[in-house]
Amino acid sequence: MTTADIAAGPPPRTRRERPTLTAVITWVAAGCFVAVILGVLASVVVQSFATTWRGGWWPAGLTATWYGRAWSSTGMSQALANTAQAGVAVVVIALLAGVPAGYLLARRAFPGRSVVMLLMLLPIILPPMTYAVQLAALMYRVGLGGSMTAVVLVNLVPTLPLVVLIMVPFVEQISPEVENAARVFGANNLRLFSRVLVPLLLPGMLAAGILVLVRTLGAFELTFFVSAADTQTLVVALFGAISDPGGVPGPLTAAMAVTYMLVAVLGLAVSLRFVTPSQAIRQRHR
Amino acid sequence: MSVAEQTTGAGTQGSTFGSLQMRQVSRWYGKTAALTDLDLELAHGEFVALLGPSGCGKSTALACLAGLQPLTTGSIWRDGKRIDSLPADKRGFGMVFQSYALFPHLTVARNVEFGLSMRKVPRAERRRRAQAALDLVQLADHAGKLPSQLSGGQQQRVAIARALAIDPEIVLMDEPLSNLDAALRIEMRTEIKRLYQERELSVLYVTHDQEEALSLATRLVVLRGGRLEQSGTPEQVYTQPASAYVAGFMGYRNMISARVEQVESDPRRVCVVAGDLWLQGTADPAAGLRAGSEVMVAIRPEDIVPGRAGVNDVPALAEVVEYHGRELAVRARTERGVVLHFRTEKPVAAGARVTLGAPEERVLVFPAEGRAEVPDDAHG
Ligand SMILES: Nc1ncnc2c1ncn2[C@@H]1O[C@H](COP(=O)(O)OP(=O)(O)OP(=O)(O)O)[C@@H](O)[C@H]1O
Ligand SMILES: [Mg+2]
Repeated sequence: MTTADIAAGPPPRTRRERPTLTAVITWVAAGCFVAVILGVLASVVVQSFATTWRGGWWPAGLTATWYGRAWSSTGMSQALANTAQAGVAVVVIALLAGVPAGYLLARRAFPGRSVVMLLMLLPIILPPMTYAVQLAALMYRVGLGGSMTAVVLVNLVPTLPLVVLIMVPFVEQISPEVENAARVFGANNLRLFSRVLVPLLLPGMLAAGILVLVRTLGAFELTFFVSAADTQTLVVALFGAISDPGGVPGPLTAAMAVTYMLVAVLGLAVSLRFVTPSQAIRQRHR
Repeated sequence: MSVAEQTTGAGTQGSTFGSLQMRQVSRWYGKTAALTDLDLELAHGEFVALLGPSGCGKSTALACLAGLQPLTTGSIWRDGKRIDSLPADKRGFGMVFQSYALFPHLTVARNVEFGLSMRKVPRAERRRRAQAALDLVQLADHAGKLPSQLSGGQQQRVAIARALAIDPEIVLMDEPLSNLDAALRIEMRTEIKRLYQERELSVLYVTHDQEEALSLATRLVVLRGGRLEQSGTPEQVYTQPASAYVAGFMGYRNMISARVEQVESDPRRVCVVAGDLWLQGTADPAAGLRAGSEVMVAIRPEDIVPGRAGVNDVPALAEVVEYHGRELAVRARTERGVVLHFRTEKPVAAGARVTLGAPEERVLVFPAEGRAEVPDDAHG
């Protein structure tokens, strides 16, 4: 065959790789894992629509009334409002304080910088249970016990360091010369921040914001010990319903759980809509 | 928008610039000095080229002037007012950064407009001036791209356009043509010179390139290890370098270690020996050379003439002949191994015997010193 023949021939088909044993094991394990999770979730969803369900594969009948009852009877709407309020407040405050702090930590070299970084890791990696009670006691001591302020404050404890730690590498990847250029061309601190730093840090800020939101939605122990009946969030309300000795019907708690899941998924979906870094940057252009 | 915000960013626009001075500026990074007691002046309408090898403090000097680096000691003055505590955004300089420092999230057009929008220039005018600046650097077609989508040379030209778009009185340029190909470099060089003349700019221009410095500047400043080594008109620095170090930078490719044989009655005339090379040369009487002093002899390749010149004649063997178009660059070696570079328009073949000579006023003799800092790429 001449070279011309080779060039004119059909493009070589990419050989299909035979799966290796490791790949098979990984896929099977991953499949089992996903199946179990989906199964559990599905059972919760089904139960929330069940009239009664005692064993067997399918409940005796289906109804949507549990959602109505959950909404009216157990302070669900209140809990939902509290969750939204706390989530937004924690995200906003954590970003407002954490982004500048992360900036300083990334840009200024000072003695003990690594110690500070290490200390910041503590509240993130420690299980909240280890300090939730003491934190709640402190809140009650200063007279904030049971208030929405207290709920927001305790949730800031692990999330603020989280924002700082996420922002540090994002700041480090911005060349100091770019900041210098902004200054030389007439940007004061405010403009430097709003016109150069924030757009460049936006992907990091969005990522940090989402993680903070997820953490706040799921923060049970922290919120549980400081909140009162009128300030509790969805998870806390859910726990209250499940552990109520009076015996709230199973489907009712399932309905609450589904509501919680929907809120979490919705929040995440909305946030992820913006988080792709390239997208975030592209939005800044005409 | 607050009133305070309105007044910021305008810089020192409006006032006419007389002179900018660095006085006895030192800048230390930890325990190492990047600048030591540096005096530098840029007067209105001057084009000062700052020369020196890598790491000698050129960029640091620019950063100090622009207010991007704090001074360790010394002061900076503009028209008799001390400005070293004035923040960078109030100085109103145009600047081309060595690393370009374009805003990665802004398009080319927005990058060029940045300084104008900080100065609250209305949008239509901003567009027009950015467009003009981009035309100047031949990048009008790329206005909508992000910096990451440009080649290095294109990015560098955006940086030049950004500095010129604000129509500054003072422009600081840190090797603004380093990344361009030869043809474009010469074109941009002419463009910069034209702008400098048309707009009465005052320019401080960092470069490694001797030819660039000579063709653009009204004054050359040579730095050495953070100190001023020589300052003068291009002609002064070119024909009368103050030291072997400066000579090495100004295209004196023949740097020969030698010993003084005799100082004539005219103390400017010295006779030196290096191997089989006996040379009549010129020295600064202030250098205090005596018979036996170790010296460095500097001769430009263009000043060595093949064929008997009558003075300083020495026989040599042509070793390497490079074709440079109009002329040949030849490396020759004398019998005792002294290497000489010269240029000639007459044909010379490798291996040919030649006799080389040089006029004694073009044979410069300097006190010997370490030559390690003189970079090889400084020869034109
Ligand atoms: N941020 C810094 N920290 C510590 N040392 C620095 C810093 N910036 C510069 N230096 C040192 O200061 C000296 C001068 O650096 P500078 O960047 O001014 O050199 P330059 O003349 O511009 O060199 P080049 O031609 O390579 O750009 C160098 O020795 C460099 O190592
Ligand atoms: Mg430099």
